[in-house]
Amino acid sequence: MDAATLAALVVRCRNGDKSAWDALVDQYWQRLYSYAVQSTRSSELATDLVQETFLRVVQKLDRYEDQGKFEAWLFRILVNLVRDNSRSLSRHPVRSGQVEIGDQKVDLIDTMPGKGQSPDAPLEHKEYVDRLYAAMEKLPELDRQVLLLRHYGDMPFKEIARTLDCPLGTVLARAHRALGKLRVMMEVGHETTR
Amino acid sequence: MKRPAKLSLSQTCLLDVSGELGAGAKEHLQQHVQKYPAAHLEYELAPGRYTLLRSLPGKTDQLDQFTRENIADGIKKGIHQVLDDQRRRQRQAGLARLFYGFMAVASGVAAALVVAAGVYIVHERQIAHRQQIQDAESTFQEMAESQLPGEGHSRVDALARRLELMEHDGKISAEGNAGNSNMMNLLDALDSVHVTDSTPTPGDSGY
Repeated sequence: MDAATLAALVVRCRNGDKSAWDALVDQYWQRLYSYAVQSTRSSELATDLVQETFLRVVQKLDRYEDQGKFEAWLFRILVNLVRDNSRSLSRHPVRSGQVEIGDQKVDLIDTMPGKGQSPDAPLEHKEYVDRLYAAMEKLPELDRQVLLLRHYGDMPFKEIARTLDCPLGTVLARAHRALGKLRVMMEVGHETTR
Repeated sequence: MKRPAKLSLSQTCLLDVSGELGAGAKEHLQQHVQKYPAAHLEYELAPGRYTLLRSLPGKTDQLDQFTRENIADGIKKGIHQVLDDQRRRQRQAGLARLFYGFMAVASGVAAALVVAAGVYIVHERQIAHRQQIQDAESTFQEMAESQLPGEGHSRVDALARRLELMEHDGKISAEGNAGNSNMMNLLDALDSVHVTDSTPTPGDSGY
């Protein structure tokens, strides 16, 4: 969605147009949910947080000044909500690579399509992804947040900088450092599993 | 104008592999990488690092269609409810504003009427008071005037002055016709004196 279309949509939302709100939800909920579910490891909590994010947008949209930063503003609300809920997350630890759906803890990888791979490939890939998740869990919170926003939030680094309210250079430095650490951890893990 | 961010080589390479580098910057990076072997090495390593991120499982691929629709519908319903609540509150606030406005106008009009009535009553009392004072003054004046010498006294004064004049001219004598005539005039003058109620009562000094 280009900036002009988004700005027009925001204006319609501000006027209380329900169909505009539906369009806005359709546009963003999946990216918000992906980030939230990876950050919270709980499908229900992620759904609640995304819903809460949109409700806050409804309440605060009158005060929002459109400067082409809607996406950053939207994600900032969610990032803050996730941060506020981090205490409750620590009470319900979930293994990396898993997500809570209802009362069950399900591997994220289980539902992934494994097209074009050998019969052993899904298992190898599952192990690989499990290790990757485990490595990500070990990253400092802010570094991990940058990677989650980039991959699951599908945000450009410039938008991430706006969302986290820090310079682009800082965001890129965090991403570079985090990716370097991940690579090292994945190589070490790969050697120990052999 | 906002200054462009000053980035290191590794940061620029990261922007390049994530597809966020502008055309001019990309060309500049290529030139730099071709010029310096160390920079070229960093440039070669960047995609490998970034691939790690890309290999993470997809976003909402894990969710089936039913769950996706369920989540989206739940969010939309929540928003619609909040919007409906907001509208209801705004409508109620509008009605309340209208009611308070009406009440303010009504109480203003009532207050104005009370003030006007108060002013009218005070004014009427002042007029009545002034009238009473005027009545009292005129009554007093009438009473005072009734105590003063009246018209009869004035005529007596006039007669006295006339007699004085005739005496001065030597017209009061009993000699000849002229004297009779003057006596007749004097008698006529005395006849014309009408003694009114203001005639001094016995005991009064004067006539």
